[in-house]
Amino acid sequence: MMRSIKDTGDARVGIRMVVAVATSAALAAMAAIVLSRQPLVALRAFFLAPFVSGSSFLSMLELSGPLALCALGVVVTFRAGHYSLGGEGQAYAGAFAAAAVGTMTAIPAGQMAMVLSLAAGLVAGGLVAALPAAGKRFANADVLLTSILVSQGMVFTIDWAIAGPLRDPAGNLVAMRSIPTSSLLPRLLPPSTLTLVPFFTVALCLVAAFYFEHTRSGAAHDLYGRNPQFAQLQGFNTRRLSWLPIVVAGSLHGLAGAAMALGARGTAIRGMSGGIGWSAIGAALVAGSRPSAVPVAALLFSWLDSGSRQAVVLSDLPPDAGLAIKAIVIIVISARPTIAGMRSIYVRVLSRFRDGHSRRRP
Amino acid sequence: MPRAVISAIRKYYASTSTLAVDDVDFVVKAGEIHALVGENGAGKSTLARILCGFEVPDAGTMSIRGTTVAFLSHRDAERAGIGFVPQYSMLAASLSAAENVALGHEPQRFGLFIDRRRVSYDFEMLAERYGFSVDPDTPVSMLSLSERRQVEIMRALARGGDVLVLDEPTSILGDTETAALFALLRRLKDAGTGIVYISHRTREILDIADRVSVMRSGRLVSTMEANELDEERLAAMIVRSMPERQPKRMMSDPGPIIFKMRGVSTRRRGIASLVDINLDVRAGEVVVIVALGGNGLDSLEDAATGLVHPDYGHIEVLGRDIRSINPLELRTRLIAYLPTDREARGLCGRSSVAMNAIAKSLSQYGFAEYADGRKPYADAAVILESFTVKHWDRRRVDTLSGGNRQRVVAGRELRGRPALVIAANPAQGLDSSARSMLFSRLQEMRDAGSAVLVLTSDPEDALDLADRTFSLYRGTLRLLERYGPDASSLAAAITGATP
Repeated sequence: MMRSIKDTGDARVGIRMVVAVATSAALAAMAAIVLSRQPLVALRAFFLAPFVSGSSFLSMLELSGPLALCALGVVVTFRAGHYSLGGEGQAYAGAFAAAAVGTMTAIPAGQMAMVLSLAAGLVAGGLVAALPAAGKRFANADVLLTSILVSQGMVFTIDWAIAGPLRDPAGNLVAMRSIPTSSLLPRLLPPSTLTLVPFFTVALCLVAAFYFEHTRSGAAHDLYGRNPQFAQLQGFNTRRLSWLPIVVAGSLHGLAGAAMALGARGTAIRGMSGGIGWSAIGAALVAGSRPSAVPVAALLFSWLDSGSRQAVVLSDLPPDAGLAIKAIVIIVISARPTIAGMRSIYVRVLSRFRDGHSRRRP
Repeated sequence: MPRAVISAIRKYYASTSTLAVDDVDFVVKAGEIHALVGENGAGKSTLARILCGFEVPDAGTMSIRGTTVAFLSHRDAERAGIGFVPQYSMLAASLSAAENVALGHEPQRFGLFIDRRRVSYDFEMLAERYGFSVDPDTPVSMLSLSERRQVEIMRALARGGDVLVLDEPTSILGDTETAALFALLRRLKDAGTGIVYISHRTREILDIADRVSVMRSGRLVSTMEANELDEERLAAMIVRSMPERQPKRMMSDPGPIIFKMRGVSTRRRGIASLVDINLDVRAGEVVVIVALGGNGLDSLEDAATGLVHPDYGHIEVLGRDIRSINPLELRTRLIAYLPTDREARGLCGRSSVAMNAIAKSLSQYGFAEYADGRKPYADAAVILESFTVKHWDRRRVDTLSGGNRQRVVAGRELRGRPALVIAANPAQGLDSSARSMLFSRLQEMRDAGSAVLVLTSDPEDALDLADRTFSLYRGTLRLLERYGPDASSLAAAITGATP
């Protein structure tokens, strides 16, 4: 056995994945049976439609790319002990900034515009996250609250900008002008929307896994997340760890938003982030905050999205069924600490009786 | 008839393998102040918590006013007339004094609304009956410490208050407030309330108590009338008897000053916890500061390690202001620190034993060396084996026993040659062999030229380790003996029995 100074690892990541898939499948089946008058059609659409054609599968794979980027951002913050819920606004800001740069007439369309758009998304997401990060760093403000407040404010502001001054007057969608095709991410296998994003994300997740498992900075990051005072007493730069992971996560969300704008969507559309921040938290929880498991967890959530969308189109399943299933999967996965807590109470009660002391009640 | 009778009570904590209360009989009479005294960990707080329903005993019986009772919660105890006044204020600062007294038991109108007129009326009745002098409408945040203490006592009395248990009630009070509290307690005693008064302060105990019960290692060893005791005798009863040791010899030339505190004063919870502390610790000496709980030892630990900057005064390590030193240099090269709170400060519970062992040395590894993992693993093995920690491979540190966790902390910190070692309650939770091993290591570090500062609640640590010993009583530092004190003078000093 390889000797390691790290933990034995969370062996339950695999179990959690299985639980997530099984829960999703069971709930999807239940939803199809209860909510649809054509349950077999709905079931088939939900489970099989994403896989029946190469194009559907590859599009689902493409969907998982930005989601995995966001989930990786969540892992970065969670492992530093910060509970940032601002991913939605950060991703939306990234998409908005990418579309703004991609449609600027001053920048010639092409690969340079694409790179600049991606960079704009990265920076925009980081800037949105910088506000709660600064609050944490300078005033020890609660990231959970500040991140969601800033994110929500950003969502409203961008909604207004896209629907108002920056709306494409020629289009039917409430969206900005389309980014020129030559500035978009190249499609690998048309007609599917697949780009390099999912593969880039897998590579990034592997880099992140290496960072956490095999670098001193990653170890300090984890130790700070688990016990900040201990990390401070070991001489780590806890000031940096109090804000930097939040900004890095914001940048990852921003990059994901940019990838959406430069990928399948082709521009920034009002409401395009569509719950990606929450799905990312779910995917990070399913992955047990292990970067190497993030792409698989993101794929699971993409399947839920694609499956429910197909079921809505091909049967009479209500549009919100997929959302509800995702929400319940997140609850099931995040109920883990509660189950662990109940187990520990049970063990304590059991040990009290096992100790064999007479319990003459007064 | 006694107000409360506790018979053959026993409480064992399986999680820490501690027999906290062992077959204790204890009686509280009507109209008496019964002091319950003992060292830290003697079991007095556990006994009080059992009496107040916070803990369920494993064995034994309790009766209140002659009726056998079984408390499963504090609310049961309140219904039986037992009030508890905690050491630190647990009042809602934004609510008024009257609202705090009624909190949780508010009189209601129509079962829906709080009857505020009744809240004020009940408060005034209580104040009149026992002679309290607090304005019912003033928010608690605006009250003085003494008034807050009165509100705490009124809260306890409002639920019945046949028996009142006060846990170190003067620990946050100054002399004037203490005198006011004692006047109040005497009035309550005259009104027939039975009062259990937990403290280690000998002078106060002899001033206020009618009887004194001494606990040691979970057993009640003696109950005496207070007027049969003097301060010295009471101090000797509180601090367990210690075998006489050979006086320690300080090194003839202890070396330069490594650690210096000048005029350090701090306030905690609004009152002075350290008062004008001046201290030098030199290379090659062990300085031990002994204090019982509530006398400022935790504030001193925070200040000395640079975790909390004092309100006044300054602290230097090797002649440099502690605030100006880079944290990495301070923690990894200058100070080795064994904290009292090893769970929060000494260990990262959810990380591996090996990671905890080498956490302080992470910056010493090169990128490739750390990524490879073999060198850190080998270093962890050396650290852990030096303190005989076994079966540690691929285990989380929070799965180890308490003693082994302390060994992990000691192994990590007492490595190399730091300029200063700060060890706070270092032997807490260790068995005798681990204690000897740890003390030998501290002495080796002293002999190698480190300055060693030990902050402890256990007087025996001073007898075993100290080149110089100080007592800390109510935040004031006092040098006891240059070459190590005798047991009786140490006991007297830490309980405030000597001026």
